[in-house]
Amino acid sequence: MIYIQGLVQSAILLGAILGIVAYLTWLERKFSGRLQSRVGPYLVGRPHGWLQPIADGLKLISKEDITPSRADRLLFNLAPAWIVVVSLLGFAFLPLTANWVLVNMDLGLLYFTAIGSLLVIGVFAAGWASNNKYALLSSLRSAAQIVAYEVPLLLSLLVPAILAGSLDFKDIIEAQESYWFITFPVIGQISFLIFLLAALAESNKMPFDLSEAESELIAGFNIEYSGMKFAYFYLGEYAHLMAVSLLVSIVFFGGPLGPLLPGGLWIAIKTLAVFLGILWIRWSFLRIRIDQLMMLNWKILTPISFINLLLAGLWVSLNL
Amino acid sequence: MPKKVSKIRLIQAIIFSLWVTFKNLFRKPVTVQYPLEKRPIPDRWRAGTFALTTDKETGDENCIGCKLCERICPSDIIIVELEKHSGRGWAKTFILDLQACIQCELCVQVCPTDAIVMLRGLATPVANRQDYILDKEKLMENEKLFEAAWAAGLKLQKLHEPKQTEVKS
Repeated sequence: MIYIQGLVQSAILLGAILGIVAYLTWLERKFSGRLQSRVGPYLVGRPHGWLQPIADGLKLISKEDITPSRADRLLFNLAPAWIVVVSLLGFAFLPLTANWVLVNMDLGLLYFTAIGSLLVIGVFAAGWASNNKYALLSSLRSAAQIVAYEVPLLLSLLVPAILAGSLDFKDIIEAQESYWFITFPVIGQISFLIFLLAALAESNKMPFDLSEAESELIAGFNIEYSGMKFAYFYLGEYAHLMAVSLLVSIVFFGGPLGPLLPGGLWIAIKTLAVFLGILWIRWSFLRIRIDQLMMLNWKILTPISFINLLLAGLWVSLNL
Repeated sequence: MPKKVSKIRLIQAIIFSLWVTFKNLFRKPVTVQYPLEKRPIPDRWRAGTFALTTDKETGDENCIGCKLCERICPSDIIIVELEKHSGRGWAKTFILDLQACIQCELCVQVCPTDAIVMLRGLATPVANRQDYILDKEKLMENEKLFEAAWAAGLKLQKLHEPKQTEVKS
């Protein structure tokens, strides 16, 4: 019985996430259009092109599915599925209201980040299996980048965990009853900023989109993919981005906590705000070079996040 | 060595670029939805296709078949055949291949009778390459379809003339 319940719940969650992710692509296109003084999708579905994601999906489904003859067939077909599965798995551990979570776990935060870092395998498999030099270069870059940025990502995520004294998402939310961790002087803001930058780098987004780099690598690791497999990459990317925004809203902005409105609505509003903030950063900056990227990580973000973690630990241990 | 940029300048640049995009968010998009709304064509606009004009009073065509435009065309796309009757020259055939036209307007500038003009309007795209080879009939028809541009041969020649020095007596 409990299995069936879990299955039904996860199916509902999965459907909701897929629908939301489809519309997040529309939102991104609209929002980025406005940021650049354009209109964005307009014609499909008259007011504001609201049918655009469906039209895109239909187009991608109807495209020919090509596997290059020299490609590693197994890995080539496995990589998109891997990316989608991994980026959707993260949602299982994130609480959507104060007491509704699919898998309740003591080490939710750790588990979430662990699953997030598995994305690199999918990316690298895609690049390796397509037997294309651009894809390989891109996936090498992407692997280096994701592995490197894992360090400040985790270190900055540990700050709220230390402040809350737990790795459980529920405890972290409960600890934010009196104040959100973003409002914690200096430590909270710094760890939020570092986490945001590291998360952008993790999901290969604009200032750090070296693995996509249209001008050098054409499209990056998904260059040989077409049709639905390409759509899987897209889906995985946006699902990961949404999971990251959800995580930020839980860990730094108090998740479902808030006056008047129910918790589910609060978390939706906060997630949307964080997502739009990420888009805002993404569409404002140019791509940086790979050496600058690594320098930013190892020389700036990692030491700062270490010091930050130390300060948070000191504060907590002296207060107890 | 790349030039060193100060840290403060970098942070200023980051904040500035965020501010620029943020301002755009509350502004009306500058996009013109082209097929739905069209921008007004400027007064002195001339581009696209050509037309052969006719005399408004007598209804005769203005072209006298002098072949000046054929001579001056840099991409050799005009072919004129001369025919003489009733006291003047006529263009027996007049073929203009628009595919290779570079829109330099030289043919208009040399025309001594204002016969060939550019048009104030947008050329409609065609589906067939053959449609871009304009013969005399199509050129004559263009005159009725579009409005002629302000610039005609004689007007332009007058602009290019050297200034007349007045001879003091």
